Amino acid sequence: MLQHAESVTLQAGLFAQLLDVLKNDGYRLIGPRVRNGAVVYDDIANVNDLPRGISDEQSPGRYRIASSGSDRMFDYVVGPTSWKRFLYPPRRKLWEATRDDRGAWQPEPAADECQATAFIGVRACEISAIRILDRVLNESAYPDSAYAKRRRATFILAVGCAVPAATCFCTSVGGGPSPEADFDIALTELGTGDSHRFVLRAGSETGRGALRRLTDHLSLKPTALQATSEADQRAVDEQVRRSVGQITAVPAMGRAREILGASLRSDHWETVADRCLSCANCTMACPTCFCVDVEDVTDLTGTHAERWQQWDSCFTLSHSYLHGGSVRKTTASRYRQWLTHKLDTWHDQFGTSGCVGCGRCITWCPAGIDIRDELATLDSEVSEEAKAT
Amino acid sequence: MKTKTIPELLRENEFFSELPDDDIEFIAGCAQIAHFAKGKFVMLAGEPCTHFYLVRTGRAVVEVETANRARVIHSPGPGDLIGWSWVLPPATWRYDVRVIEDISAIAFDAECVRRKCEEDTEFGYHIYRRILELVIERLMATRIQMLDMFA
Amino acid sequence: MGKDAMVPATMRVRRRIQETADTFTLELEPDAGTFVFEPGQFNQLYVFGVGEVPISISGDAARPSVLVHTIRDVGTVTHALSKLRKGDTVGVRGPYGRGWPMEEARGKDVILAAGGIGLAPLRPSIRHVLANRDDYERVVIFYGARTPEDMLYPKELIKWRSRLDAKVSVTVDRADRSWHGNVGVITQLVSAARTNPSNTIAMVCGPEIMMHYMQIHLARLGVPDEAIFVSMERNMKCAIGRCGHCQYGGDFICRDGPVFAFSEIARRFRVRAL
Repeated sequence: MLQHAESVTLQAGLFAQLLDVLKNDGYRLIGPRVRNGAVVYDDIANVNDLPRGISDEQSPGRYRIASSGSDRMFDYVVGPTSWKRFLYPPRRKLWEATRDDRGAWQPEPAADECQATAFIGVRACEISAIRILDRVLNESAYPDSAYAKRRRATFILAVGCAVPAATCFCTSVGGGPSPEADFDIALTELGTGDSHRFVLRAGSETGRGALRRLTDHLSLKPTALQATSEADQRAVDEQVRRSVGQITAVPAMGRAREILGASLRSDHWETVADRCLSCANCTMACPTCFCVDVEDVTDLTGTHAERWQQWDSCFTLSHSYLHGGSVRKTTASRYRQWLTHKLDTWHDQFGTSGCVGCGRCITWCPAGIDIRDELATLDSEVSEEAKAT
Repeated sequence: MKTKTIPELLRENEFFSELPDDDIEFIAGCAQIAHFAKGKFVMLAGEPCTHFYLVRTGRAVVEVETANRARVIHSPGPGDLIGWSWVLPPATWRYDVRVIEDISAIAFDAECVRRKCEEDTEFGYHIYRRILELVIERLMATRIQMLDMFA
Repeated sequence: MGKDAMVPATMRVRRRIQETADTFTLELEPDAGTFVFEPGQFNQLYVFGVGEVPISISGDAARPSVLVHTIRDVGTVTHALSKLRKGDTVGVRGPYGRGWPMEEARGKDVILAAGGIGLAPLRPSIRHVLANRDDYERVVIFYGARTPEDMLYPKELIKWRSRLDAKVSVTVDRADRSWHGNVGVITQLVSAARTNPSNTIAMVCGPEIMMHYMQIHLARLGVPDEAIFVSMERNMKCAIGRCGHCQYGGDFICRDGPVFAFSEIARRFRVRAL
């Protein structure tokens, strides 16, 4: 009966066994852990590395972790890292070449090591972000083979959000706090103490395989893993409902294209620019920003050359460089590029929005610029103009 | 081939094309055919503006020569009007206009046209409007030249 | 797995021609024997250890045995390219982008207008039109340069001018007395095009400021924005719509351009710093 269950409930104390199964399947585990006062994604050795009892407080320009006083493991929301870091590394060698005595050279694509990796604790908004990266990097005329390889080797252990942050707005960009698809296993954390448990749901063949091996692993303790009861299923649904209710709706998001399309010449960009430091934090923290630059390096002898790709940001002056000077010289024009690209022209390019509502750009902006507020201001400007005409 | 009369030639040019026949006939009375050989000057800076020209064939250059250096500003050719300083008297030409390909032109007696403009303001309005269009176009072209866009 | 689009092929320089004081042409030997491209497309040229730049292809699409690039020495990489000599190796990725509307122009009057170095990206299109002259109605070529000394391909211009089946007008912004041609900006040539505006395709290539004025003048002639094509330039790094640098509103210049119908970009074209 258990073998065929749609979802199973696992005692929290045995969560480590799930990680063991993944490790035994050969996966490198990357998941949340506390580092430098934030929950970041990095290699984890075992369940003890997870941020048990940690929650976070987020608001524009502010992030603090706090002790939740409970034994729950996923009560934080998203931190400064995104999975982009592991699928599309900040720096990667593209190719290298060595010049011979006669000046001839031949580029060799860089060997790209890529280990099967399990992402532990992927939020629904982050799954959306990975799907967006798939569109940008993989589903194009020139797929990025390194990305494709990493993506294929990735196991996604998703988690529903029990406690959304004040900066979350996934529900206004077509998402929600609960993973719906494109995961291998999704888990919902319920209860604390003796009733602390996880509801696990497989979303792929790979996920079903892992759950089967978990069942085998735990076969000596049949009570540890059970088909999810109706009561637990109701508890999951209730938690999702509660989370959704805690997320503030941003009505302007639904009209973002129309608002931004009418705002290219708005004065408001100058107003934002008075606060924006052009620091690029938002683009680095954003789970979908994909701009990269290349760097050419040679050794001292000048016979060996390498070409590296690294993350770039539309907030740098060099991003729009042309002979004779950059196109977007002002912060106003760069902020307009970032917001307009994310919420409007991304649709033209890839058929979706570039925003998943994770709120990172709001939290990690040192000036506390909130794209929800900026869009709302532009919205009121546009509607004022519409009224005036 | 039949030689075209001055009124016929005027009607073909957009500068005069909208004028009624009476006015064409009148202004033709102020005009005569003129020829300038390559190397000659159509006008010289500092000389009074007695005539202005509508180029039929050939080409000239509007240039400024100072000390040892000549700079070419513009090169009017077929269909182009040469000279508009005559509009506001007393006027002298500002540039030298040197012929680089033999020119056949219609030469207008500036005083004759100007007097008509003053007496017949409707005619005058039309001529001045055309001159303004011409001046705007030259100004625009000069501004683009100033942008040095191929630098 | 297919060849990684970010890894260049290597080609040898067959010939280097100095065109003007700061502009030169490199003729490359295609590694595969031939290099097939469409007029208006570009390549990414890489100089060993120095870097990569996008350069339009300026050779003859009907002669793929040689790959021709005309390059202006204005930056680090183009300067390094200028130092290359016969036999040197260049990295080449391409061809990329959407080129000139050669098919759409068939059966129509064609205005080909180039300014400055803009003659290089337009030359394949001019050659195509002249080689397939019967496919097109009236053919008008306009070329504007800064001075007579800055004019590209002067011998070829003379050859084009000698044809009776194409109107070729050349002008320079400034000249001294030794120049016997037109002096004045390229926009002043437009009124003499005498094409049928409702059956004209205009291909305009030059600095953005020149295309800006050309569009105004062509529109005044009655050529609709859908029939005016321009070649846009932005910072192109990857050339395959991945690095994000050449974004122009919803388009990647490298992938969706560089050639656009003016109507496609009219709403953006005069917005500053976009």
